[in-house]
Amino acid sequence: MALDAFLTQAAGALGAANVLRDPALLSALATPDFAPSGLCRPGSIEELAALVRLAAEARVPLVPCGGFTAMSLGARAPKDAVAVSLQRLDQMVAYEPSDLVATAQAGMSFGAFDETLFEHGQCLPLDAPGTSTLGGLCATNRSGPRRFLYGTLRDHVLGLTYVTGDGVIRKCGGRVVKNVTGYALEKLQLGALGTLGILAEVTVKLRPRAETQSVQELSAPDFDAGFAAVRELAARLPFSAVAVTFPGKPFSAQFGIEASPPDHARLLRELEDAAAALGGELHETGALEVDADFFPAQPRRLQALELPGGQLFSPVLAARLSWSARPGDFLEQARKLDVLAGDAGFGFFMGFFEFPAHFVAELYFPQGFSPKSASAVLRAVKPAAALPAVGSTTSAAGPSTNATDAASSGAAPAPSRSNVVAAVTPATGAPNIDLVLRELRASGCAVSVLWRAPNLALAEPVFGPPRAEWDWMRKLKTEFDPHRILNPNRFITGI
Amino acid sequence: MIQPPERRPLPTRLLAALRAAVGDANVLTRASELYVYECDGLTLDKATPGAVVYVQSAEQIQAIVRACAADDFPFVARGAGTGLSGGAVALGGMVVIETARMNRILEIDAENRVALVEPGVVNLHVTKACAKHGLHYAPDPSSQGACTVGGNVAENAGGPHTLKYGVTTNHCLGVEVVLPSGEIATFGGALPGLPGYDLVGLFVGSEGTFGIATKIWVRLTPNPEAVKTLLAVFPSIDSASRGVSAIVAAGILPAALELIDQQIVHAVEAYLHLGFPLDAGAVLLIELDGLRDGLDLLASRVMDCCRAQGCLDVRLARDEAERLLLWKARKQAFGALGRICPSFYVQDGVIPRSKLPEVLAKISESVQRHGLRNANVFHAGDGNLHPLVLFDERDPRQVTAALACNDEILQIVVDAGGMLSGEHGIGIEKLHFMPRVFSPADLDAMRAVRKVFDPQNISNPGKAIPSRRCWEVKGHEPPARLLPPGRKI
Repeated sequence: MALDAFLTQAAGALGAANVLRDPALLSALATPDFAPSGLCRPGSIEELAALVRLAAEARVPLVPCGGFTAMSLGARAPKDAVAVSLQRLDQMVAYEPSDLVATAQAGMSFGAFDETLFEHGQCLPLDAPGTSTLGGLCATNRSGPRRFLYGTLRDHVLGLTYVTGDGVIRKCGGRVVKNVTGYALEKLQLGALGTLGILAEVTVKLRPRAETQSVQELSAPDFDAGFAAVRELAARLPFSAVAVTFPGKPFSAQFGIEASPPDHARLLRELEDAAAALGGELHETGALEVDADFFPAQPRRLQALELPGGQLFSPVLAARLSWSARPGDFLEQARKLDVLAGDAGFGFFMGFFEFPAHFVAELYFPQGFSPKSASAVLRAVKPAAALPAVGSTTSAAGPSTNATDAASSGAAPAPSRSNVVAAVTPATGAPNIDLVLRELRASGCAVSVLWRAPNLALAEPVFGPPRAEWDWMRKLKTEFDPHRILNPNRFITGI
Repeated sequence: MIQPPERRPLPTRLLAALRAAVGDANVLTRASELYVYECDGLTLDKATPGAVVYVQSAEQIQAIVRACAADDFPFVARGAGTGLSGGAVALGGMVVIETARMNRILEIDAENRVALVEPGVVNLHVTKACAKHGLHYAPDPSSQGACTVGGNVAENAGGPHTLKYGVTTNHCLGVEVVLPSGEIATFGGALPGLPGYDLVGLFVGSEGTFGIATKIWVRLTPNPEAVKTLLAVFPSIDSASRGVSAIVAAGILPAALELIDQQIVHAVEAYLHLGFPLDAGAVLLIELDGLRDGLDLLASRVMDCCRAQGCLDVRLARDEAERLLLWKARKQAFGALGRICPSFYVQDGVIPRSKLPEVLAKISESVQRHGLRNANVFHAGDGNLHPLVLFDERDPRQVTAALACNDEILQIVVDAGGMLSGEHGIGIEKLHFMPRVFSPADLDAMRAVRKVFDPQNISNPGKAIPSRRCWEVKGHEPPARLLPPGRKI
């Protein structure tokens, strides 16, 4: 068996303790999206490269894994694939606070990274769970509501070290904040889901942490008026995040403020004025709860999994990291969420994405979630031009449970009032999700499936129907991964 | 040593195809006409094009590129020719595809803050066109009154305000491209965040080696509510650069943070009479923007940083007119240099910002050792140096010394953990240094990508990425400059 021979060779290269083959343990790792046939934990970039070379020779598909927080992203992994955990590559490589630049190994957790930066009053302004890894964040190009002010990883990653499908270590970019030296291959790797290389080191540009941070919730009796006011505020003022939560009660929006004290006071004043004009209220909520884990924490079981040499994974929480809080406040917030967990329900948050009229709707699970229902999490980006066509989205969702009703009722006002895309989660099974996908795509939205329930089979492609430029992506894939062993068939069609 | 490629005469069939594509009047072939196109803003490297073709549409470019591909003949796109790395030089007599007449702004979508423009649109014209919506196009190279968006995309151009707002790649959402095969492709579009690889990010800064952009979706940025512009006067370039490092380390992010040294101050003062302090060793031009509420506090913090590093005086632009004058001084600095020396060579290395003082001292020492003078006017906040080596192009010894300085400066930058170019591109002039910052495996990946888009190697060959030959066989020697006969080094 090629797989057995590969795992034996891998054990020789990495040490037996770092190659997991026991079927019982592996089955404990399995998720509906990925049931690994083995797990390897290289301890250095050189070991990672050696491992990839072995896999290339044996033609064994590899699935790179960081904090296991987004494994559900993408199409399902092939059955004979081996997980490559970057867990042991978790060190800060270089951090010079006075340059606002840091280089860390890809397996370093975002929480540990953030904690180090916090000590120096700096941050990488992402909304991500502390258990996710820098490499995983890059591979999934994850961003959250704060992209409204700060942009995405595309605007922060300066350089990468990665191992291509032929097992060669390569670098691109650099450690300076402005750079046109050679092709920007780091851009290609962001969001590529590891299909062009396994990321080993990441260099990012950092931001000073704002002196004053708060989250304000604006509530108003009238949805239309509230929504119009939010759009006006978002277009004019530098909030760090603006989110409208559906279903509104009747209208509620959250504003992130990260600013100097005088600017903070000004933004607060603007919100107070808006609240007064709307006959609504403003209060500080302390934490932005929209960063929801898109990806319900199915690997919770991993917490108990112990391997020789220590625990395999740090505990995976259904993390809703408070972006405005100190890392230490995280647990407190998690506790708060647990208190609320009894009220099951869906909601979704709508972030203002780069432009006032482009929105991203991201479904999230604010208060617990039952992965048994036939649901999916969709991320839809929508041009203004596609506006009028989205009206039927919610009706297309068909019969639904109460939870779906909640989402639908939130979505219903959107098409007639703004450029919102509603991602809907019906409880009645796959056909409806497919229908929603088709409707949204037909209206010009780019829709990706971020997560779907274990038993949900989709006819529609996860990343949408092929676009012409995908041909070029496939050609690039062939250059970076000639044997097609890196996360094969999980990304866009043919990659 | 990198040899200039052998010059190929333009095939008759290709010339006929060019004329058929755009009409006889839009194809230049006479020596007197081609002379203008023999170099870009990097005047040391020159090559006469085989022909220059004025184009007005993607279809015309497509016809030309197809004809070039059929004859395996190289081509290069050219915007305004303001590039500073030789990116638009027609090595070996390439066909120059001049896009300056493709200068229409096709759409301004103020609500979504995106504009669709043709490649020949002048950078500043985008800003002018959206000014009534309170928006602007953020990348602002010094040449923004002349340079084109297409050229900006090719080189991933920057500018002073990219410190806060990002360079071209951060403002480019999509491109329509004529690929080297002649196929027209669209990468990205008006909509951010489409699934798939970021081909737009790959294309921006590829120096014309993946084809020619024919439409560009750019992001528009809201104008700040308020702006404050400060001029901080320092006794020396060393204290000024320590001021920069202090501001960055304090976590202050100005909109722009520029260093102008004494040589430039003198040159600019003689030309613009702004009342710049002539005894200053260097000045910092610092622009702060944002909500008006926080600007006073921010300005006082910046001043504290400057004073702590020995700043002699801080002047605040009183009004918009004075602010614009300060920026005029900055943006016309290169031009003003003509008053104090016949030629200059500008470098574009980027270094970690904490290393500014030591690197500037080393550069100065190197230039003086070669018997030349240097000047500095650069994007200090980014660590993006523009050391100018002043010399006389008519004196072969000075040319030799200037080129030697150039290499030493690049090595100083590399040794400091920096990169070769922040915004001008590699072009021809820095090719030989690429192996000092990238391994053969790193460069192989770049070459593989290039081959995907340009298997015939006809789209601006000899630029951006060194061919395998030059680093494997010949090592790290400096290039033979493409100088006219009699001035060979």
